Amino acid sequence: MNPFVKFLSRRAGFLVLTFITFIFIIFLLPRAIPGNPLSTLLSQLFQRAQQNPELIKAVYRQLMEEFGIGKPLHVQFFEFISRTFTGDLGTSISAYPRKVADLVFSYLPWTLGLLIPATLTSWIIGNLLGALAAYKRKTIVDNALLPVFLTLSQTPYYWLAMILLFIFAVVFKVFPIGGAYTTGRIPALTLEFALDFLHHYTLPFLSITLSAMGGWAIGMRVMAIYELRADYVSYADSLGLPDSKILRYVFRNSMLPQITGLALNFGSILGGSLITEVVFSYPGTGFLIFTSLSRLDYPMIQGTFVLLISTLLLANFIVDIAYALIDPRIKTGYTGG
Amino acid sequence: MVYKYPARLTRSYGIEKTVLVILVWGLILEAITLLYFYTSAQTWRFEYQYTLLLFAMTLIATMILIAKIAKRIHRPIGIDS
Repeated sequence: MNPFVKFLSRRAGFLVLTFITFIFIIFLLPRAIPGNPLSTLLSQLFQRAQQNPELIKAVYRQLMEEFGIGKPLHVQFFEFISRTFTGDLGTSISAYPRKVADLVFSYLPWTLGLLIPATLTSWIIGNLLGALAAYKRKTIVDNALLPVFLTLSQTPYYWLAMILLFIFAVVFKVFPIGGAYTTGRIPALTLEFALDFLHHYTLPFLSITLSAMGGWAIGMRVMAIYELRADYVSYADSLGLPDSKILRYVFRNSMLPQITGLALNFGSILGGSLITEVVFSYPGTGFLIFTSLSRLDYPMIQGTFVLLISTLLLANFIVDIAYALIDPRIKTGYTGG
Repeated sequence: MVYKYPARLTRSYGIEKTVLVILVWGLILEAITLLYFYTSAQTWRFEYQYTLLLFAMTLIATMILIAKIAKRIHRPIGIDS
Protein backbone atom coordinates (compact mmCIF):
# COMPACT_ATOMS: atom_id res chain seq x y z
CA MET A 1 0.00 0.00 0.00
CA ASN A 2 1.13 3.54 -0.77
CA PRO A 3 2.72 4.94 2.44
CA PHE A 4 0.68 8.13 2.21
CA VAL A 5 -2.59 6.19 1.87
CA LYS A 6 -1.51 4.05 4.82
CA PHE A 7 -0.80 7.20 6.83
CA LEU A 8 -4.16 8.70 5.83
CA SER A 9 -6.15 5.59 6.73
CA ARG A 10 -4.38 5.28 10.09
CA ARG A 11 -5.17 8.89 10.97
CA ALA A 12 -8.77 8.49 9.74
CA GLY A 13 -9.12 5.32 11.83
CA PHE A 14 -8.01 7.15 14.98
CA LEU A 15 -10.37 10.00 14.15
CA VAL A 16 -13.40 7.71 13.78
CA LEU A 17 -12.53 5.76 16.95
CA THR A 18 -12.15 8.95 19.02
CA PHE A 19 -15.37 10.34 17.60
CA ILE A 20 -17.38 7.19 18.42
CA THR A 21 -15.98 7.13 21.99
CA PHE A 22 -16.90 10.78 22.39
CA ILE A 23 -20.42 10.21 21.00
CA PHE A 24 -20.93 7.39 23.50
CA ILE A 25 -19.84 9.60 26.43
CA ILE A 26 -21.87 12.63 25.37
CA PHE A 27 -24.96 10.42 24.97
CA LEU A 28 -24.66 8.83 28.42
CA LEU A 29 -23.58 11.80 30.58
CA PRO A 30 -26.69 14.00 30.27
CA ARG A 31 -28.91 10.96 30.89
CA ALA A 32 -27.08 10.30 34.16
CA ILE A 33 -28.60 13.51 35.56
CA PRO A 34 -31.82 12.63 37.42
CA GLY A 35 -35.09 14.20 36.25
CA ASN A 36 -37.49 14.32 33.34
CA PRO A 37 -36.41 16.77 30.63
CA LEU A 38 -40.02 17.26 29.55
CA SER A 39 -41.23 18.39 33.00
CA THR A 40 -40.55 22.13 32.41
CA LEU A 41 -42.17 22.02 29.00
CA LEU A 42 -45.19 20.18 30.37
CA SER A 43 -45.63 22.54 33.33
CA GLN A 44 -45.75 25.46 30.87
CA LEU A 45 -48.28 23.55 28.82
CA PHE A 46 -50.33 22.69 31.91
CA GLN A 47 -50.66 26.39 32.82
CA ARG A 48 -52.05 27.12 29.36
CA ALA A 49 -54.40 24.16 29.01
CA GLN A 50 -55.61 23.32 32.53
CA GLN A 51 -59.19 22.85 31.32
CA ASN A 52 -58.24 20.09 28.92
CA PRO A 53 -56.27 17.26 30.58
CA GLU A 54 -56.80 14.97 27.58
CA LEU A 55 -54.98 17.45 25.36
CA ILE A 56 -52.06 17.54 27.81
CA LYS A 57 -51.85 13.72 27.80
CA ALA A 58 -51.91 13.63 24.01
CA VAL A 59 -49.21 16.29 23.75
CA TYR A 60 -47.11 14.47 26.36
CA ARG A 61 -47.32 11.21 24.36
CA GLN A 62 -46.41 13.07 21.17
CA LEU A 63 -43.40 14.74 22.84
CA MET A 64 -42.22 11.47 24.36
CA GLU A 65 -42.40 9.93 20.88
CA GLU A 66 -40.68 12.89 19.22
CA PHE A 67 -37.76 13.03 21.66
CA GLY A 68 -37.69 9.24 22.12
CA ILE A 69 -37.29 9.62 25.90
CA GLY A 70 -39.46 6.64 26.83
CA LYS A 71 -37.62 4.27 24.48
CA PRO A 72 -34.90 1.84 25.66
CA LEU A 73 -31.45 3.42 25.99
CA HIS A 74 -29.87 1.44 23.14
CA VAL A 75 -32.68 2.47 20.75
CA GLN A 76 -32.19 6.12 21.75
CA PHE A 77 -28.44 5.73 21.21
CA PHE A 78 -28.77 4.32 17.69
CA GLU A 79 -31.33 6.97 16.78
CA PHE A 80 -28.96 9.63 18.09
CA ILE A 81 -26.03 8.18 16.10
CA SER A 82 -28.03 7.94 12.85
CA ARG A 83 -29.27 11.53 13.28
CA THR A 84 -25.78 12.82 14.11
CA PHE A 85 -24.23 11.25 11.00
CA THR A 86 -26.91 12.82 8.82
CA GLY A 87 -26.19 16.24 10.34
CA ASP A 88 -29.52 16.52 12.19
CA LEU A 89 -28.93 17.91 15.69
CA GLY A 90 -32.61 17.58 16.60
CA THR A 91 -35.15 19.88 18.27
CA SER A 92 -34.54 21.74 21.52
CA ILE A 93 -36.68 20.75 24.50
CA SER A 94 -36.33 24.00 26.45
CA ALA A 95 -36.86 26.24 23.40
CA TYR A 96 -39.39 23.91 21.71
CA PRO A 97 -40.08 23.88 18.74
CA ARG A 98 -36.85 25.65 17.69
CA LYS A 99 -34.13 23.54 16.06
CA VAL A 100 -30.89 22.93 17.98
CA ALA A 101 -28.82 23.97 14.93
CA ASP A 102 -30.62 27.31 14.73
CA LEU A 103 -29.87 28.09 18.38
CA VAL A 104 -26.27 26.83 18.34
CA PHE A 105 -25.36 28.81 15.22
CA SER A 106 -26.89 31.95 16.71
CA TYR A 107 -24.69 31.65 19.80
CA LEU A 108 -21.52 30.22 18.24
CA PRO A 109 -20.10 33.39 16.60
CA TRP A 110 -19.99 35.16 19.98
CA THR A 111 -17.98 32.30 21.51
CA LEU A 112 -15.56 32.10 18.59
CA GLY A 113 -14.96 35.85 18.67
CA LEU A 114 -14.08 35.60 22.35
CA LEU A 115 -12.42 32.23 22.81
CA ILE A 116 -9.83 32.07 20.00
CA PRO A 117 -8.27 35.55 20.49
CA ALA A 118 -8.27 35.15 24.29
CA THR A 119 -6.64 31.69 24.18
CA LEU A 120 -3.89 32.73 21.78
CA THR A 121 -3.25 36.03 23.61
CA SER A 122 -2.96 34.32 27.00
CA TRP A 123 -0.59 31.72 25.59
CA ILE A 124 1.70 34.26 23.90
CA ILE A 125 1.77 36.81 26.77
CA GLY A 126 2.06 34.09 29.43
CA ASN A 127 5.06 32.50 27.73
CA LEU A 128 6.81 35.82 27.12
CA LEU A 129 6.32 37.00 30.71
CA GLY A 130 7.42 33.60 32.05
CA ALA A 131 10.63 33.77 30.02
CA LEU A 132 11.21 37.34 31.20
CA ALA A 133 10.73 36.31 34.85
CA ALA A 134 13.22 33.46 34.41
CA TYR A 135 15.78 35.73 32.75
CA LYS A 136 15.38 38.36 35.49
CA ARG A 137 15.40 35.73 38.24
CA LYS A 138 16.01 37.00 41.79
CA THR A 139 15.44 40.59 40.69
CA ILE A 140 12.52 42.88 41.46
CA VAL A 141 10.88 41.90 38.14
CA ASP A 142 10.74 38.21 39.03
CA ASN A 143 9.76 38.94 42.63
CA ALA A 144 6.86 41.05 41.42
CA LEU A 145 5.71 38.72 38.63
CA LEU A 146 5.94 35.34 40.39
CA PRO A 147 3.25 35.94 43.07
CA VAL A 148 0.95 37.32 40.37
CA PHE A 149 1.49 34.22 38.19
CA LEU A 150 0.94 31.88 41.15
CA THR A 151 -2.26 33.64 42.19
CA LEU A 152 -3.62 33.72 38.63
CA SER A 153 -2.75 30.08 37.94
CA GLN A 154 -4.66 28.93 41.03
CA THR A 155 -7.68 31.15 40.48
CA PRO A 156 -10.70 29.42 38.91
CA TYR A 157 -12.08 31.07 35.78
CA TYR A 158 -15.45 31.88 37.30
CA TRP A 159 -13.90 33.32 40.47
CA LEU A 160 -11.64 35.74 38.59
CA ALA A 161 -14.58 36.64 36.36
CA MET A 162 -16.68 37.50 39.43
CA ILE A 163 -13.85 39.53 41.00
CA LEU A 164 -13.33 41.53 37.78
CA LEU A 165 -17.08 41.99 37.47
CA PHE A 166 -17.35 43.24 41.04
CA ILE A 167 -14.39 45.65 40.85
CA PHE A 168 -14.82 47.09 37.35
CA ALA A 169 -18.56 46.82 36.82
CA VAL A 170 -20.11 47.15 40.28
CA VAL A 171 -17.64 49.31 42.27
CA PHE A 172 -16.01 51.53 39.61
CA LYS A 173 -18.73 51.13 36.97
CA VAL A 174 -16.12 51.30 34.18
CA PHE A 175 -17.52 48.31 32.29
CA PRO A 176 -21.05 46.94 31.92
CA ILE A 177 -22.28 44.12 34.14
CA GLY A 178 -23.04 41.64 31.35
CA GLY A 179 -24.18 40.87 27.84
CA ALA A 180 -22.45 41.34 24.50
CA TYR A 181 -23.99 44.76 23.81
CA THR A 182 -26.34 47.24 25.46
CA THR A 183 -29.90 45.93 25.84
CA GLY A 184 -32.20 47.48 23.27
CA ARG A 185 -29.43 48.28 20.81
CA ILE A 186 -29.80 46.66 17.40
CA PRO A 187 -26.62 44.81 16.34
CA ALA A 188 -25.12 46.28 13.16
CA LEU A 189 -21.72 46.77 11.55
CA THR A 190 -21.37 50.41 12.63
CA LEU A 191 -18.65 52.19 14.60
CA GLU A 192 -21.09 53.00 17.37
CA PHE A 193 -22.06 49.36 17.80
CA ALA A 194 -18.43 48.20 17.51
CA LEU A 195 -17.42 50.51 20.39
CA ASP A 196 -20.35 49.30 22.48
CA PHE A 197 -19.44 45.70 21.67
CA LEU A 198 -15.76 46.25 22.65
CA HIS A 199 -16.90 47.87 25.89
CA HIS A 200 -18.82 44.68 26.75
CA TYR A 201 -16.08 42.42 25.32
CA THR A 202 -13.20 43.71 27.50
CA LEU A 203 -14.06 42.08 30.83
CA PRO A 204 -14.81 38.54 29.52
CA PHE A 205 -11.69 38.73 27.33
CA LEU A 206 -9.51 39.88 30.25
CA SER A 207 -11.00 37.23 32.50
CA ILE A 208 -10.16 34.33 30.16
CA THR A 209 -6.75 35.76 29.21
CA LEU A 210 -5.61 36.41 32.81
CA SER A 211 -6.87 33.05 34.14
CA ALA A 212 -5.06 31.05 31.49
CA MET A 213 -1.96 33.27 31.43
CA GLY A 214 -0.77 32.45 34.97
CA GLY A 215 -0.39 28.74 34.23
CA TRP A 216 1.55 29.34 31.00
CA ALA A 217 3.88 31.84 32.70
CA ILE A 218 4.67 29.49 35.61
CA GLY A 219 5.40 26.60 33.25
CA MET A 220 7.54 28.74 30.99
CA ARG A 221 9.46 30.24 33.92
CA VAL A 222 10.38 26.81 35.29
CA MET A 223 11.44 25.49 31.90
CA ALA A 224 13.44 28.62 31.05
CA ILE A 225 15.29 28.51 34.41
CA TYR A 226 16.18 24.89 33.69
CA GLU A 227 17.38 25.79 30.19
CA LEU A 228 19.42 28.79 31.41
CA ARG A 229 21.51 26.36 33.49
CA ALA A 230 22.30 24.18 30.46
CA ASP A 231 25.85 23.83 29.16
CA TYR A 232 25.06 25.30 25.75
CA VAL A 233 24.01 28.58 27.40
CA SER A 234 27.35 28.87 29.25
CA TYR A 235 29.16 27.94 26.02
CA ALA A 236 27.23 30.50 23.95
CA ASP A 237 27.83 33.10 26.65
CA SER A 238 31.57 32.40 26.70
CA LEU A 239 31.64 32.77 22.90
CA GLY A 240 30.28 36.26 23.38
CA LEU A 241 26.82 35.76 21.84
CA PRO A 242 24.46 38.62 22.69
CA ASP A 243 21.86 37.99 25.43
CA SER A 244 18.98 38.42 22.97
CA LYS A 245 20.35 35.61 20.79
CA ILE A 246 20.87 33.25 23.75
CA LEU A 247 17.40 34.05 25.06
CA ARG A 248 15.90 33.20 21.69
CA TYR A 249 17.35 29.69 21.82
CA VAL A 250 16.41 29.29 25.50
CA PHE A 251 12.87 30.40 24.67
CA ARG A 252 12.57 27.95 21.79
CA ASN A 253 13.90 25.04 23.84
CA SER A 254 11.58 25.83 26.73
CA MET A 255 8.55 26.01 24.45
CA LEU A 256 8.24 22.29 23.76
CA PRO A 257 6.38 21.27 26.98
CA GLN A 258 4.28 24.42 26.68
CA ILE A 259 3.11 23.35 23.22
CA THR A 260 2.05 19.96 24.52
CA GLY A 261 0.37 21.82 27.37
CA LEU A 262 -1.62 24.02 25.00
CA ALA A 263 -2.85 20.99 23.08
CA LEU A 264 -3.78 19.11 26.28
CA ASN A 265 -5.27 22.09 28.10
CA PHE A 266 -7.36 23.35 25.22
CA GLY A 267 -10.32 21.37 26.58
CA SER A 268 -10.07 22.98 30.01
CA ILE A 269 -9.57 26.42 28.45
CA LEU A 270 -12.71 25.80 26.41
CA GLY A 271 -14.60 24.73 29.54
CA GLY A 272 -13.28 27.69 31.54
CA SER A 273 -14.26 30.19 28.90
CA LEU A 274 -17.71 28.66 28.71
CA ILE A 275 -18.13 29.27 32.47
CA THR A 276 -16.88 32.84 32.01
CA GLU A 277 -19.70 33.40 29.52
CA VAL A 278 -22.19 32.36 32.19
CA VAL A 279 -20.77 34.86 34.71
CA PHE A 280 -20.89 37.73 32.20
CA SER A 281 -24.21 36.61 30.65
CA TYR A 282 -22.32 36.62 27.35
CA PRO A 283 -24.56 35.09 24.65
CA GLY A 284 -22.14 32.34 23.61
CA THR A 285 -22.31 28.55 23.55
CA GLY A 286 -21.19 28.37 27.22
CA PHE A 287 -24.27 30.29 28.23
CA LEU A 288 -26.36 28.02 25.99
CA ILE A 289 -24.85 24.83 27.48
CA PHE A 290 -25.42 26.11 31.02
CA THR A 291 -29.08 26.88 30.29
CA SER A 292 -29.51 23.51 28.56
CA LEU A 293 -27.94 21.62 31.48
CA SER A 294 -30.17 23.32 34.04
CA ARG A 295 -33.24 22.38 31.96
CA LEU A 296 -31.99 18.88 31.00
CA ASP A 297 -32.24 19.73 27.32
CA TYR A 298 -30.56 16.54 25.99
CA PRO A 299 -30.64 17.42 22.28
CA MET A 300 -29.16 20.86 22.92
CA ILE A 301 -26.34 19.56 25.18
CA GLN A 302 -25.50 16.80 22.71
CA GLY A 303 -25.78 19.02 19.65
CA THR A 304 -23.50 21.74 21.04
CA PHE A 305 -20.81 19.30 22.16
CA VAL A 306 -21.01 17.24 18.96
CA LEU A 307 -20.41 20.38 16.90
CA LEU A 308 -17.55 21.71 19.06
CA ILE A 309 -15.70 18.41 19.52
CA SER A 310 -16.17 16.88 16.06
CA THR A 311 -14.82 20.05 14.42
CA LEU A 312 -11.85 20.04 16.80
CA LEU A 313 -11.06 16.44 15.80
CA LEU A 314 -11.47 17.36 12.15
CA ALA A 315 -9.13 20.35 12.56
CA ASN A 316 -6.46 18.07 14.06
CA PHE A 317 -6.90 15.66 11.15
CA ILE A 318 -6.69 18.41 8.50
CA VAL A 319 -3.56 19.92 10.05
CA ASP A 320 -1.89 16.49 10.20
CA ILE A 321 -2.65 15.91 6.52
CA ALA A 322 -1.59 19.45 5.56
CA TYR A 323 1.72 19.00 7.34
CA ALA A 324 2.30 15.67 5.63
CA LEU A 325 1.61 17.27 2.26
CA ILE A 326 3.81 20.32 2.89
CA ASP A 327 6.72 18.47 4.45
CA PRO A 328 7.56 14.98 3.11
CA ARG A 329 9.84 14.33 6.10
CA ILE A 330 6.86 14.48 8.49
CA LYS A 331 5.02 11.97 6.29
CA THR A 332 8.08 9.71 6.29
CA GLY A 333 8.25 10.01 10.07
CA TYR A 334 4.60 8.99 10.47
CA THR A 335 4.73 6.12 8.02
CA GLY A 336 8.08 4.91 9.27
CA GLY A 337 9.34 4.79 5.67
CA MET B 1 26.95 29.77 14.53
CA VAL B 2 24.12 27.32 15.21
CA TYR B 3 22.98 24.39 13.11
CA LYS B 4 19.24 24.73 12.26
CA TYR B 5 18.00 21.27 11.35
CA PRO B 6 16.67 19.84 14.66
CA ALA B 7 14.63 22.94 15.55
CA ARG B 8 12.94 22.78 12.17
CA LEU B 9 11.45 19.36 12.77
CA THR B 10 10.61 19.52 16.45
CA ARG B 11 10.08 22.81 18.26
CA SER B 12 8.89 25.09 15.50
CA TYR B 13 6.73 22.29 14.13
CA GLY B 14 5.00 21.85 17.48
CA ILE B 15 4.41 25.55 18.11
CA GLU B 16 2.97 26.15 14.69
CA LYS B 17 0.93 22.97 14.67
CA THR B 18 -0.94 23.73 17.89
CA VAL B 19 -1.71 27.29 16.88
CA LEU B 20 -2.71 26.07 13.43
CA VAL B 21 -5.12 23.51 14.92
CA ILE B 22 -6.86 26.25 16.91
CA LEU B 23 -7.09 28.49 13.84
CA VAL B 24 -8.34 25.68 11.57
CA TRP B 25 -10.87 24.69 14.23
CA GLY B 26 -12.18 28.26 14.25
CA LEU B 27 -12.15 28.34 10.47
CA ILE B 28 -14.24 25.14 10.19
CA LEU B 29 -16.80 26.33 12.74
CA GLU B 30 -17.04 29.73 11.08
CA ALA B 31 -17.46 28.12 7.65
CA ILE B 32 -20.23 25.82 8.95
CA THR B 33 -21.97 28.77 10.62
CA LEU B 34 -21.80 30.84 7.43
CA LEU B 35 -23.09 27.92 5.41
CA TYR B 36 -26.00 27.42 7.82
CA PHE B 37 -27.03 31.09 7.72
CA TYR B 38 -26.67 31.16 3.94
CA THR B 39 -28.71 28.01 3.28
CA SER B 40 -31.44 29.03 5.72
CA ALA B 41 -31.65 32.50 4.09
CA GLN B 42 -30.65 34.34 7.27
CA THR B 43 -27.85 36.44 5.78
CA TRP B 44 -29.53 39.59 7.09
CA ARG B 45 -28.66 38.60 10.67
CA PHE B 46 -25.83 40.36 12.52
CA GLU B 47 -24.38 36.98 13.56
CA TYR B 48 -23.83 36.20 9.86
CA GLN B 49 -21.95 39.47 9.27
CA TYR B 50 -19.95 39.03 12.46
CA THR B 51 -18.99 35.46 11.48
CA LEU B 52 -18.00 36.73 8.03
CA LEU B 53 -15.64 39.21 9.69
CA LEU B 54 -14.23 36.54 12.03
CA PHE B 55 -13.82 34.16 9.08
CA ALA B 56 -11.82 36.75 7.13
CA MET B 57 -9.58 37.44 10.13
CA THR B 58 -9.01 33.75 10.92
CA LEU B 59 -8.34 33.01 7.24
CA ILE B 60 -5.70 35.75 7.04
CA ALA B 61 -4.02 34.51 10.24
CA THR B 62 -4.05 30.91 8.94
CA MET B 63 -2.62 31.93 5.54
CA ILE B 64 0.18 33.91 7.20
CA LEU B 65 1.04 30.96 9.43
CA ILE B 66 0.98 28.47 6.52
CA ALA B 67 3.15 30.79 4.42
CA LYS B 68 5.60 31.02 7.34
CA ILE B 69 5.71 27.22 7.67
CA ALA B 70 6.17 26.71 3.91
CA LYS B 71 8.94 29.33 3.82
CA ARG B 72 10.76 27.66 6.70
CA ILE B 73 10.42 24.17 5.23
CA HIS B 74 11.61 25.14 1.75
CA ARG B 75 14.55 27.17 3.03
CA PRO B 76 17.80 25.31 2.30
CA ILE B 77 19.30 23.57 5.33
CA GLY B 78 22.36 25.47 6.37
CA ILE B 79 24.13 27.49 8.96
CA ASP B 80 22.37 30.27 10.87
CA SER B 81 24.72 33.19 11.30
